Amino acid sequence: MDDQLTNELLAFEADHAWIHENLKTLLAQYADQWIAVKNGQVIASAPDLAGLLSKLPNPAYMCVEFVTREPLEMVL
Amino acid sequence: MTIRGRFIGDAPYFAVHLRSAYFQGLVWVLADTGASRTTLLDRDVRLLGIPAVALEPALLPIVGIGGSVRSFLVRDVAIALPSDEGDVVLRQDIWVVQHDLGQLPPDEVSRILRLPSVLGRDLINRFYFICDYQAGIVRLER
Repeated sequence: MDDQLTNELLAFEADHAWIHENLKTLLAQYADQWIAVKNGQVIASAPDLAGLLSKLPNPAYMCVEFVTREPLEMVL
Repeated sequence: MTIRGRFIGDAPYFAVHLRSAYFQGLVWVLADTGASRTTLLDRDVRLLGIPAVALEPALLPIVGIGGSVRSFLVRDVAIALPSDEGDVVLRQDIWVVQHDLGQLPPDEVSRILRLPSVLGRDLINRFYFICDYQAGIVRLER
């Protein structure tokens, strides 16, 4: 794996962490929306995932999460 | 050799890169020792743009808690994880599950799409897995 991919993975991880760390702020603007984040910035949002994906040039390399106050209790 | 993950809330995650003949991309996977197989779920199938031609119907049923799912295999996927000694690339088939979202109310669809893909025991057990929430450590080591 080259340096570029390593950097992409690290940035991808950092963006997921950023969403978690900034959830309160994100809820004020993006509650119940899907968001795409790159380098610590929201670059697109939409109320449904399909709508968000249609806005993204390369969703396979994007950090995408749903912003909501509702906790998700998972048993996986 | 150490592959570092991190806790999001109280759950351990790793970033991985997947590459197959049909798609490639980044996936944020929940390390799940309850999962026998590494499995992509609905959201990531959409983000990766996995085409139907890549999905081979699985011969074995997937059993778990929850509603019904269709299960598939994607053959021969290169799974890359960043380590402190360079890339670790593993090659194997990956499972895919898809819920029948068309039959569900919007709130339930939203919850299902929030579910993370999982890193299962098929990959975790190739390493020494450290998951220490008190210390904030999530690692795969060899």
